[in-house]
Amino acid sequence: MTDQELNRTHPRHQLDDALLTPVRFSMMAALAGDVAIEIDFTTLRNIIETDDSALSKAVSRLHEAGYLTVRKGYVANKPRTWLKATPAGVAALGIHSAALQAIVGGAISHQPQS
Amino acid sequence: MMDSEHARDPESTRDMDAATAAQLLDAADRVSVRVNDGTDFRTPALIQGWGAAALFIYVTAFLLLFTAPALDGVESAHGTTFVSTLVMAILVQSQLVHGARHQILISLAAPLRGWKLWLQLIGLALFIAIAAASVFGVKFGWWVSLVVAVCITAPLGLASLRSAQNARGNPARVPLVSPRPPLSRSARVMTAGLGAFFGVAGAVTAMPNLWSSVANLFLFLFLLLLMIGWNARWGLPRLGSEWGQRQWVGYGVSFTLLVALTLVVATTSLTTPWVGVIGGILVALPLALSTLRLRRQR
Repeated sequence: MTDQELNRTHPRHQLDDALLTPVRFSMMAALAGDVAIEIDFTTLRNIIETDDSALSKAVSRLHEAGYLTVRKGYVANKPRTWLKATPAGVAALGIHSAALQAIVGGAISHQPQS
Repeated sequence: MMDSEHARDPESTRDMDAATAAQLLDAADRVSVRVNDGTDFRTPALIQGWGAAALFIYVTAFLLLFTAPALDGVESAHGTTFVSTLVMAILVQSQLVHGARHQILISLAAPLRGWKLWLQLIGLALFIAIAAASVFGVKFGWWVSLVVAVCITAPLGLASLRSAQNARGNPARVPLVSPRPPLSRSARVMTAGLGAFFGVAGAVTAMPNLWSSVANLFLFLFLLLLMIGWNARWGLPRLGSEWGQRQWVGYGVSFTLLVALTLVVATTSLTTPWVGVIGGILVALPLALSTLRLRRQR
């Protein structure tokens, strides 16, 4: 196997560009866990422990990628935004998580036996 | 392209090592636990349960109205008043419930699937078929209405029970929902107004004359206005999002009384102005009281 072929089979090539930042990955993990759920923007911000600005940027990026849908509404005259993962987002998260697990698994299998 | 994007993103982790990957996976696990802790199972269970009950009452009443033998002296034009009263009630209900769902900060998005979806579709098909056949004079037993109502509402009822089971098994450990603020002035006015709307709709059903048909038409136009302005400050979804337990109980009683009054008037000879006025006041009262009690509490 050539060096080029080895590079292509490395699990990092399965990583999804849209999920490469910790905030975006955590967001999708929250939205597309075991079951598809819809989460209010502020609640999601608190859950993943970030700020409004970072979350807004992440929402824009994932929305562009087609990984989540944004729904806006009002609760007692206060605007509120809900986020929900799309089937494409759920699938992308699955592939990305598998690649991360493969990277972790690869490192464990290459650890010297004690 | 990917590399250039990667280069632009300072937080990007494409060249990650195993430790970074493990950290990300751990963070994702922690996030999942927090989401589970904060998921509100109780509110969806309540909404689904009340929705199923209201739909059952509506479908049963609607079909009973169609399948009941026509009374002497009740004009066909007035028959449409009964039907439109029920339609108005369920349209209001759907808008309010839409708003109530907005209260949920984390909700499971689980649409009906499999046999439950099929059961509901069969029920809906039967509902339309019976309603259409009744127009052409085909008669059905009262039990047919019950069977169809059960077919349509059972899947929702089962979904509600499942949510209730989840609520019991997963009590929210993190109080994500802040205490409910008192009802705003506009919401109090709209709630009392909705009570008056239901009251007038109920009163009109007991007055079989031309004016009642005209009044019913105006009520429908008013409802149409409410539905067009659904996103406005005075829209029904916003009202539903602001209501607390008292308002929902008040609404449930008003809704049931309105449907009951319509059925009683349609199937008996109690079509007098007094029945209309007293019935209308009784229908309006629970919703009006739900705002007054809240005001006293403040």
